Amino acid sequence: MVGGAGWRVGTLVGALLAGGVPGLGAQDGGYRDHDALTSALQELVDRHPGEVSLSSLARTAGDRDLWLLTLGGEGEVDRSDRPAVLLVANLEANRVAGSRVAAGIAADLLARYGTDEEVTRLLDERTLYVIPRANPDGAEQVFTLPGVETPYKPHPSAPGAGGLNARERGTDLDGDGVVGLMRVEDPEGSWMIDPEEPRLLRRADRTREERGRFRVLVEGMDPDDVDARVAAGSDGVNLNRNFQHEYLYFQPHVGPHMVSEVESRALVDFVFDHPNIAAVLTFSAYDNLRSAPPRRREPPEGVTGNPPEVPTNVLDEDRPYVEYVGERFRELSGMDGRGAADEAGSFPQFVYYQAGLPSFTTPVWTLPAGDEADDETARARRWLEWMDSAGVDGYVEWTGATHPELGEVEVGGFRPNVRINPPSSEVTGLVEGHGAFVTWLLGRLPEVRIAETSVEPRGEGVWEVTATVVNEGYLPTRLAMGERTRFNRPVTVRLTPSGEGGGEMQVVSGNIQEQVSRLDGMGGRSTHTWLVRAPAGTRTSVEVFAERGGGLLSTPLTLETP
Amino acid sequence: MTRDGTMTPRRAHRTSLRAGALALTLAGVLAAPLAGQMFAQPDREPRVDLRFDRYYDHADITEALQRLEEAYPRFLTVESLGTSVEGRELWIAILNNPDTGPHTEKTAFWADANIHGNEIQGAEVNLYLLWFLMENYEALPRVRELVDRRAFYIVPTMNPDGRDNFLHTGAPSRSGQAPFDSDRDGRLSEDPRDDLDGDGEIRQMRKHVPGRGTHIESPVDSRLMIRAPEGEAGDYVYLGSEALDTDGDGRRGEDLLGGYDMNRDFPSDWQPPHIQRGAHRYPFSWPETRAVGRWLKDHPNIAAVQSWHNSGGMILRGPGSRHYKGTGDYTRRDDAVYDALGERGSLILPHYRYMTVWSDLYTVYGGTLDWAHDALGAVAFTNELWSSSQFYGPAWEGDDEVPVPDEMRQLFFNDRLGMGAWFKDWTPVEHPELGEVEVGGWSKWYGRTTPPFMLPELVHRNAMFALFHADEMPLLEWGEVTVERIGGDTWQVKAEMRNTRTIPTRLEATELYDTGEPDTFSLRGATVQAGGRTSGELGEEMDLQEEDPATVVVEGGVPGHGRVGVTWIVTGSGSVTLEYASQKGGTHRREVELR
Repeated sequence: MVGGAGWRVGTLVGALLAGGVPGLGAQDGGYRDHDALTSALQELVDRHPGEVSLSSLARTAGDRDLWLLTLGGEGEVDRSDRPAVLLVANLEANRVAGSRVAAGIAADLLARYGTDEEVTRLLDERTLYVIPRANPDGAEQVFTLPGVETPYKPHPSAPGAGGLNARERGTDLDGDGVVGLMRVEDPEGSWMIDPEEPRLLRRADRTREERGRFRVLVEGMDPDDVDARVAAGSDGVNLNRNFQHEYLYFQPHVGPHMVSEVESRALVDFVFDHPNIAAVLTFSAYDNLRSAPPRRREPPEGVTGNPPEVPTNVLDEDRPYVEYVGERFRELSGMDGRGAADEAGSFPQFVYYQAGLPSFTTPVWTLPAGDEADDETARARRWLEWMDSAGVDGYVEWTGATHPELGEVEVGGFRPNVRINPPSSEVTGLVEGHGAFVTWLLGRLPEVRIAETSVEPRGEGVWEVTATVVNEGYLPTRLAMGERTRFNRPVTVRLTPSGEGGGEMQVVSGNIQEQVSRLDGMGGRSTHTWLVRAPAGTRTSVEVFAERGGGLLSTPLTLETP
Repeated sequence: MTRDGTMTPRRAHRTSLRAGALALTLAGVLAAPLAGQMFAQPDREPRVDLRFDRYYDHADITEALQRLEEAYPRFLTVESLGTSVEGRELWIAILNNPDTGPHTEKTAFWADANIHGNEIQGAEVNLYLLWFLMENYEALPRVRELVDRRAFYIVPTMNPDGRDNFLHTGAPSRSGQAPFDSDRDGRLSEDPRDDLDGDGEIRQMRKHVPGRGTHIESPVDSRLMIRAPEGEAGDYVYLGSEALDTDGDGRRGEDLLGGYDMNRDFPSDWQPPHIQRGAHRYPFSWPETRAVGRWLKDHPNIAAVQSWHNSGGMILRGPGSRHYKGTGDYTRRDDAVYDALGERGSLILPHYRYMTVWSDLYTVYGGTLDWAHDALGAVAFTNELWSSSQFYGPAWEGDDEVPVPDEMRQLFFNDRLGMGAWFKDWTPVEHPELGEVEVGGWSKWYGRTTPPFMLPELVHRNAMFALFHADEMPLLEWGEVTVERIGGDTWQVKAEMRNTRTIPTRLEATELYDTGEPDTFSLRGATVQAGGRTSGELGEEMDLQEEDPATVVVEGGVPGHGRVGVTWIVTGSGSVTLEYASQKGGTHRREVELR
């Protein structure tokens, strides 16, 4: 057994002490449960039938639809061929603010279609895919279990509340509707009252003459409960740890194996089945926009088995793009601070490291105080400062309660989800800032054009055909990682075979079909020349297939003296 | 023959073969088996007359399973795990004696085959395995014991699409047959191989270009092409596989159906395709592997997994990578189990060597072996069926003094052992793009595929290896059980469970990774005051289990040829029930009187 139950509990206690949340969601009318979200999305389609469609990518174990919005105006090209941004939110069960903001961005863009010139043009030439709630079953718990904070989706074979096993779950001892923490005076305890903020606890440091006074447990937990054992793969799943890159085999809450869940499978399949997706933005616990990923990063702890050729860092050729996009994100969204980097098995990591696509991720909202401290206690203090100043009732003071096995204890701590989702009054501002970034990103996708073609006679019935292909967008047709992982296709340039309206055409030099590994953005180009034999008047065409830069493009040619 | 149906029409598939079999059941039962043993060459008429000197396509396999099920309806149930990409049923034969309990409560042996479509022999091994167990159930007590105490889950082919493609066209068929974009031009499988001479096989092409080529005819045998000597022009260019350039990209036959490897599609130590060639989007990307994976996960009673591939004469075990879990090895305890089976098993299989995948062959990420081992907790072997040393014999082996060019040896055997069956002389064919070319060369039947006259021995020996593997699955028996009065109504109960086979009831990997359930040893019917594993040199001590001592948790299971003892202090009277429960060792109950 890796770690065992003790390890899991320790992690959770650490997480609760460090972070925390109140009964947000059900109380805060600004967030939507599945039915409300479904109605809101349907209403959007009713209001803008020409520019948005709603479809279900999967049906979850809880019998809910995994909704996809496809936004795109009446452009000339089919939506599935236009360069696209995919926006995914709410993979972690309790991050409902992400789904609210993602749906808000969609609504906002649609409202501006037809009046705002830039938005109209972008939606006519681009596609925006929005999966506002990638984890409908998990998210529902924010509303049905408002007293519990959990990022997990319940596992069908372990029907514990919130995807938590008995130890992790605890019970609401004092009947205040919240399962918080429980502290018990214990000479073996390692926790002490924080001298700077007496509402908080922190670990005592023996080397600094400090002595532990409390044990800290999940509220209501029976420390001797042996039924708490859950075999690997049968516990609640953090969907954002269920993906292939740096997957934590056999660790708690990662699913029985990589991409084991219907939701994660639907997401991966969607990415691979839509080769027009040129950039992905995920609202998740992680971040590479407010701060760029570290230049030299070690794989997260617990990742084993990877040979050295598995990349662990953003490739040097790709890094400038990530950095520049981050700069623009900070400018446009007004978000700052530093992101969490422990992203083993996450969706955004899959998107870059395996699908090879530009992958951006940000938590939508976090500690609203600027730069975060490394130290957990310092962060907790800042959360309290913010709650005090913003008038948010997010912390339950330690109060006496009676535990059936332990006797007198005190319960308290942060309310579930207060540190995950902002008060819904902040949503409008977040939609605006993040929406500005999404709009900007839609305008930065690769955009391949057949810039010039020419036909020159080279004697009787011999022609030199030339075509120049150019990428007018910002992003390259594929990143270095896309080249490496092979899931991104090169740009294919070909002459269509002869026979249409003319005689037999035979390519004398080169192949009728050629491939270009990549076209850089901002005018990157490639010129192709064929010598062909055909009677004058033969018609052919130059065809270009750039999966993320506009799909299949074509320019007709007639082999004749100009 | 072509893909689209000049072959024998495929028989209608049925999801259950049981239907319609009932009428024949009585006849089968009445035809009492005679004494005598059934090997590939029977000394009496078998109840089901199957040949093992031939290869079966999917329709033939379906029919053979149906005949076996009809002849042995009490033991055999054929079900479908799902369907392949092209819609063929993925048959599984469940062999179990229902009189000795349902199959899910028995320690079970799994055998699959042919996940690589062109590695065909395994299906015949699996059919033979079923046939042999059934035909010899009455005659051979060892067979009867295996059938009565174990369950067998046998999948004749995991890749019926690849198999039929190989058998009917001879085009490359390692992969499944899903449309795929191997040349990554946005079009799926648009440039297949083409059978230009219409002989039902995809062979090689060459073109005669006197004085302008790269190759010449070998002076030793004009059928062979060799490179022209340094500085000299040849008379031929070698043009690769028989194919047109259908998509006009200058490459012939480079985007056919498939192009992936289903044995890189399992979720342990999985890597994406740029690291592991043949992998796809994620583990269980394909309907075939997904269906098989689901069944395996749903049957934790499977203690042994056997997969048949070809070729090379190997008994392979994991791990697949030197980086596996950061160590490149299984634990020492688990290694010892594999070594014991691999070394003894190779005695049954002359010309086969017991090997570890990554260190003795090549690296495999996401193969069956590691997933079976660490997630399913089953001891897993992959046999690479068929070895050329079997074919050529010792005279052609290991003589460094007189090196024989490989192709000369092959041609000699083609001419003298096959009477020319395996090499086709170069024959002119008109190629629409290249003008007149010559098509010829080696047949798909040569090399990896066992010639029919040697197939019976191959299927028998490997089926016997499988039965050896199956027989070494954990088999539990009660050891010593004692009751001793300590005073008043207080008793000490000691019980012992023994494993008489090599494979433990739990691999150490499953303990390490917390996969599957640990074994438990429990006592019911009295108040358990204390309990725990028996310890001490003479079993005179116990390791107290603080929590719920009535159910003692045995994380490591019962080791191979080992025992697990538990001591309880109980108060009560009358009889108590002891139970040893193990996912892979079965559930064993026993009443004991407190007296």
